Parts: sequence; C-alpha cells; structure tokens
Amino acid sequence: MANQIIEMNYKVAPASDVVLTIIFGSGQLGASTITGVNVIIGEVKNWTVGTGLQLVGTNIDIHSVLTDVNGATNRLNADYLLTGGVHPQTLSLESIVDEEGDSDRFHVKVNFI
Amino acid sequence: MTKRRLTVLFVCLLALSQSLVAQESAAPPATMEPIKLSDLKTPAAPAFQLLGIAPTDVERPTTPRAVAVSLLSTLKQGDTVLPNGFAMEVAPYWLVPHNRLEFGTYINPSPAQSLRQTFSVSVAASKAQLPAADAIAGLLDIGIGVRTSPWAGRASAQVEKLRTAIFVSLTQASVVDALLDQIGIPVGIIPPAIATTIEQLRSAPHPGLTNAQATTIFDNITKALRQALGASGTDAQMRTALLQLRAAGDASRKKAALELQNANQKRLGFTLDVAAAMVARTSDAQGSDTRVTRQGVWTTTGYTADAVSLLGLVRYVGNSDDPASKSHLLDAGIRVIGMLGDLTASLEAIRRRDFSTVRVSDSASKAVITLEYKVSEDITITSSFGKDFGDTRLGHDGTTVSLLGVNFGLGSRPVLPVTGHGQ
Repeated sequence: MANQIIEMNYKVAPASDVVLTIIFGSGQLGASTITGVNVIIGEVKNWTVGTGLQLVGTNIDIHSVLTDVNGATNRLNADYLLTGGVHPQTLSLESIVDEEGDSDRFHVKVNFI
Repeated sequence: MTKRRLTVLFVCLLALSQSLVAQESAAPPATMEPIKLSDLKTPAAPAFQLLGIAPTDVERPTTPRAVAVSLLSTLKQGDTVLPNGFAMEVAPYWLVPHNRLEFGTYINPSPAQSLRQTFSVSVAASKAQLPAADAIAGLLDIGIGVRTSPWAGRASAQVEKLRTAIFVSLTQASVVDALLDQIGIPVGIIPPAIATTIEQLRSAPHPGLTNAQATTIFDNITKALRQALGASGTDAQMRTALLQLRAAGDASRKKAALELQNANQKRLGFTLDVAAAMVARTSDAQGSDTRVTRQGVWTTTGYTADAVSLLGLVRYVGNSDDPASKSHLLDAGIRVIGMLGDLTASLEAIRRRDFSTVRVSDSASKAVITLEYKVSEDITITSSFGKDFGDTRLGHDGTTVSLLGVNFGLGSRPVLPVTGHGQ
C-alpha cells in the first residue's frame, strides 16, 4: 500500500466549503500530512479545505501513516470523508500488517472538479 | 505521620503477628495442592483451563474465511468430532473491520463496546485421561468456553503518554513521506555523447526483438545511468537523510506501540471479567454417546487506584469425569492492597465450599496478611502471617503462616505491587 497512490475526484459546489475528516479505525493510531492547495499536519477532523470556487481545478495530496497499537487485530483502516460538495464522498482504505507495532502508509490524491 | 512513628507502628504489628501465630500448635501438613488466588482468576481461554491443557499450537484466525478454513481442514482430519490436540481461540468482533472504532473508544470503551470487543470463544479437544476405562476406550474431551469483560476500567497515564509520543512520531513520519514524495527518485543528466549513442541504438534495426523488448532494454539502461548520476546530488542526500529518519521513526514507534499494548494490561477503576466453559466427552463424530463431564464459571472483579487495589474472585468448577466420584468446588477469594507512605499492606483470603460426593468437611479457608515496610532504598522488612488452606477431602486443618524477612539491597521492586486488571 505504501507506494500506491489512490486518486479520487471530488465534485465541488461553488458556494460551499469542502470539509475533510480522516478517521483511523480498528482502535489504531494514525496521522496525516496534507499538501497542495491547502495544508495541515496531524489530526484531520472537520478541516475546511476551502470553498468550492477556490478549489475547483486544484488538488490535495494526503500522506497518512498508521501504526498497529491494538493487540486484538493487525488490521489498519482509514476513512477519508469529504463533504460540502455536490455529494458527500467516502474513501475507505485497509491494510493488514504482519507484526504487532508495524506501520503502513496510505497516499491519497484528491482532485477537485 | 513521621517515618520514625511508622517504623514503630510496623514493628508493633510484626510483634503482634508473631505472638499470635506462636500460640497455635503446628498443624499437620496439607497434602492437597495449595490453591493460590491466581488460580481463581478468570482465564483468557476457559476451554483450555477446564480441559487442563496448555496447548502450544493454538489457531487464532483473524478473518471469517480463516475460521472456516481452520474448522473445515480440522474436521477432515479425523473420524471424531475434532481431532486430539485441536485448540482454537477466536474473538468474533475482530474478524471484521471496524472503520469507525477510533483509538479513544477502543482504549476507554463503554460497557457495551467493552462487551463486544473483549468477547472471545475458545475450543479445544484432548483425549480423556480419567477414569482409566474412558482412556482405554479412546474417548475424546471437547471443551468450549466464552469470556468477556463488560467493565474494562480505564487506561493509565502511561498509556496516554505513549499515545502522545506515537502520535507525534506518526505526524513526523507523514511529513517525511510528503517530502520524499516531492523529491522522488533523484536523477542526473547523461553526458551528450552517451545520450546520442543510446538514441541512435534505440532507433536501430532490432531483428529477433520486438519493439517493446528493444525499448525496455534502452529504458532500463537510461534509468540506471540517470539514477547513478543523481546519486550524489542534493536531492539524493536529502532523500537518504529522510529515509533514515523514516526507518528510525518506524522502529521507535514499533517499540512504543508494544509498550503501549503492555501498559494497557493495567487498567484503572472498576473492572469485571467473566468466563464460562464446559467439556463434553464423546466417542464418535455423531455424538451419540456424549455426556457433559465438566463445567466452570469464573468471575473476577476489581478496583484499582493509585494507592489501593481491590480484587474479588469467584470460581465454580464441577468435574464428573468419573460418575462415581463427582466433584463440585466453589471458591471465592479477595485481595486488598493498600499503600501508605513506605508501608504496603495486603490481605489475601480464599474460601472454598466443597459439594463433592467424597469429602470430609464442607469448607476450607485461607487468610494471610502481608506487611512490607521500606526502611530505606536498600532495606525492606516483610512479614506475612495468617492461616493456610486445609484439605476438605482429608480433613486436615490449615497450617499457620508466619514469615519475617529483611531484604538488603536486592533491588527496589516491591513484593506487593499495587496491581491492576490483567495482572
């Protein structure tokens, strides 16, 4: 998963804010760095990326790193929730690490159209 | 209270305990294996506990498909319901993804969430050992057990500290990844003469090779040369530094994650663990000659704070392997540990009620008080006094317990830790 870029398009609504939330599931820990038309690092919850008008034709790059801290499972999940556009959209990614404490990486590119 | 007063109080308590136990006569030694409080704890895999086995090869499937494969491959192996030596432990909740279960909810769950995420099923099979007739007939014991913790307490400050450290490391790792992505693979410029030759050869006739094969050859050579030429540039140096940072971060985070898992074993506040299991004895796959031979129920509850720890345990175990000699034992135990300055005191008591077919007395009990006083960093005085278990089958009285010890510089680890859930 580490070297694979997942690309998605998100159709914006010109007058409304696009909001992004990243949820790391399975009781695991994760953090992200977002670059591109707007930037943020760490925890991404209800983050306003920009208005539809500002974002159309641009993109953001999301680098998420997750670590298996849950002794009950080696599964790592991340849900990327985008709202404020024409429709809400969710991208779910999953990975299973080999050993307790291992990390994995998700790289997502969002094109605003 | 000053240290001197505490020392005097401690010495007085010791003297009292020694005089009390001195009044009792030496009791006959109990022949029954003594029961420890830890024996009553809710087991992680109750089916294994009830069968009295400690399997080394336990199947722990983590997906529904793995559960099915494990069971199907096992059922194919023998002509009995399950083959001898089979052992499986599965936590159904974790078989499927839980995308919205965040760390905070997992680590400090509500009772309903705790019930779900700690529920596990254990299944095992082993050959019957007693009575001899069953062993000779090759009968098989199949055990099944369930376990859960409706109240799991809350995580300690150590867990929160490790969570923060891991989160900072994760954020740094994601920044490093973003920069590595921007740098890409550093490449250099191939000198014009070599580049011209490569381009000439690229467009040369290539009998015996397809166009794609010829193109691949020159793409590989060009890529290798450009990467070699770029290996000493600024981008390459930054890339090397960032890759080192990433590897070191992953390693230290793995260590911290394992420490967090370990620290999470100690839970603060109120905890409750329950388990139940049963064993059925059978001779064939159809289960036509099956009888339930053992049952067990365990409950462990506790409360842990900084200076006090309470633990209560109840266990019932019934065993009718031999129908002529059924045993039914109900055990209850309690442990209280308190700390006051350098003084640590604990009370440990166990009460057994015996409802077995063959017994002399109905009950037996054990109660021991232990005091530990830290005189200095290197010197600790420890005293235990009380009454040990008798034997309900042989009618022995319990022996008295009277121990006094002084530890000199053998480490600062206390004999009586204020323990939490999972210890």
